[in-house]
Amino acid sequence: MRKPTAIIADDEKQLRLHLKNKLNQIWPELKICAEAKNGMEAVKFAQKHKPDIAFLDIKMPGKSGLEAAGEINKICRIVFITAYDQYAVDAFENEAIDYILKPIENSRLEKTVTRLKKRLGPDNNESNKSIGSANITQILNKIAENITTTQGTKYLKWIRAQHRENIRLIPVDEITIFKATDKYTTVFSKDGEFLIRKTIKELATQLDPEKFWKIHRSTMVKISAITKVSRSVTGRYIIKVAGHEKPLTVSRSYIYLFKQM
Amino acid sequence: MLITRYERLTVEQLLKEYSLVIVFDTIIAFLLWTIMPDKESFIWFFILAQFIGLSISTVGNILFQLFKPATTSSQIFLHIISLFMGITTALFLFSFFFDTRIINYFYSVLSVAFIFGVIITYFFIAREKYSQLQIAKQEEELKRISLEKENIQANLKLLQAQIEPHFLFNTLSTVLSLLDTDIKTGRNMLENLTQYLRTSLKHTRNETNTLKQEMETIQSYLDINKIRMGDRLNFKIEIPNDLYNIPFPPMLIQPLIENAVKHGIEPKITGGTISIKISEKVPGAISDKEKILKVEIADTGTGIDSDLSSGIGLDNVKKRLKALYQDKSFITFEDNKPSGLKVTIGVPYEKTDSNNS
Repeated sequence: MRKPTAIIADDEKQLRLHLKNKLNQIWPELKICAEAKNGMEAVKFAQKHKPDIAFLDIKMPGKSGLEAAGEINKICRIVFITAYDQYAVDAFENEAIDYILKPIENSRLEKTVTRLKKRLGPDNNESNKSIGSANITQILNKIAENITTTQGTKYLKWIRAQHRENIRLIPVDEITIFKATDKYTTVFSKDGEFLIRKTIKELATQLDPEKFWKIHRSTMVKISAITKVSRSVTGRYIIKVAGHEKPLTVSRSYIYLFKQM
Repeated sequence: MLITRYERLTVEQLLKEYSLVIVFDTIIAFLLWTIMPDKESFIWFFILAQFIGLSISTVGNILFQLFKPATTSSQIFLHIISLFMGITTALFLFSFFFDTRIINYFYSVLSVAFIFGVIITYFFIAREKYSQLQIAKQEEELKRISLEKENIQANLKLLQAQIEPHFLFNTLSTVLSLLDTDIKTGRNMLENLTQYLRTSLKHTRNETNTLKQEMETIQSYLDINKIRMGDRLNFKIEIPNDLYNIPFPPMLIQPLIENAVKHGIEPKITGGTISIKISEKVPGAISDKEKILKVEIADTGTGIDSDLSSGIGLDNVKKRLKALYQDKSFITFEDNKPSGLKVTIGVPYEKTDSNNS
């Protein structure tokens, strides 16, 4: 019988070395054929060497271990390495996915190795390589979604504006008013006024409608910054926005926003 | 009544104003009627006073809506114009509808009405100012309370975020692996971790720090990460010597460094450099005594996408800056060139003589 092979992927050299040494002690027959520094390399090496096992750190630059696993889980068995992700660990337990915890404990690694040996052994056939079969990619995606804390949302969080020779990033939360001026839009924040190229029309689709309201063809305001709503003699709605002296008029088509208040 | 006329008027405001004006006019009419020698009927005094009062009010409203004066002097000017125009209009209307004899008394009525007009206008302005003052006071109090609350919350969150389990477990696993291969580096890393944890705990006891101590913590944090990441992480720190001993809140810069490592350099395959530059901000200094300390943290990492949330770390720094310095501090974010993020914070500090030693 040929010797089992594996690749190790971790962005920290020290940890790759450590895992290699430990595996060498516990499982001397296992041959490590490549070490990857990031997710991309992991995929590349897995396709090139067709190993039996891929040890993948979850947090890697370029491509996370979970993403890499989605691409190579048909080629080899996946063993995840993670430092601290309670959610991921629970999910791995539930789905019977192999994993190793950092710092690596001998007893825990031995258990994983025993399990791997059994699964790779003559009793098992090829199809067992992809654990949990077809929906593994789905499971991995779900785990990835839940452990990434700084998840991008569909709404804008930052506005980029030219400020002298630099590009300023203004947190959307600090902006009170967007106002169309000619081809540009003026952004009012507590740090002052900035000109941006985005039009009110574009902004209306990119800003969270629970936080910003369009009150006029040329104006959007932050709802929580509205300090006063009043009706003028002519029946128009006039609003005042914090930090902004001049009151703003709500155009007729947007009055319904205030009627429910 | 007129100080805020440049705002759009609402129906409720108008009704309130006119009813007050009617009350005042009635009082004036009664006063004049009692001191006047000839036996004219009270009704004439009443009608005339209402004519004058309401037309001053109306003319004033129209003028303020038309010109929307912004400065105090232009507002006072418009008040006087509205008094004259209002009184004149009222007298002509009165002579047209009721009694032409009133024109004979034009100047005496004008002067009496003008004096009352000034008094009443002054009363309205004072009332408006007083209520504005009350509102400002209340807002100030509310702001103070919410600041205090935010300060406590920010401290709590910082405590949770500081000793982040991910960081701790990663560091420990690297230390553990070093014990097999490179004991010296392993010991070095443990020492750095100890130093880092010590300062983190210090913050929770609310002790003050110097800038030097804060920079030592940051140095430890970066050294630990440097051992883990190797060539992928580089950093440089630039501080003028005379700024080392100024008092500085602990763990204020640190979350920004952590952010640069975690979200800037770590996700980038080739890694990058973090530059920390501390300087005195000369232009726009509040005064000679109170200066602004500027801290720039630039990384050449992945930068931020427009739709990426700013993260707990940055939010906490913002809240703490506000809690510690209110509006005297600032924090700005910029795209770093050619890539990455540059965060600049500015905090006021008082340079004492002992700092120069």
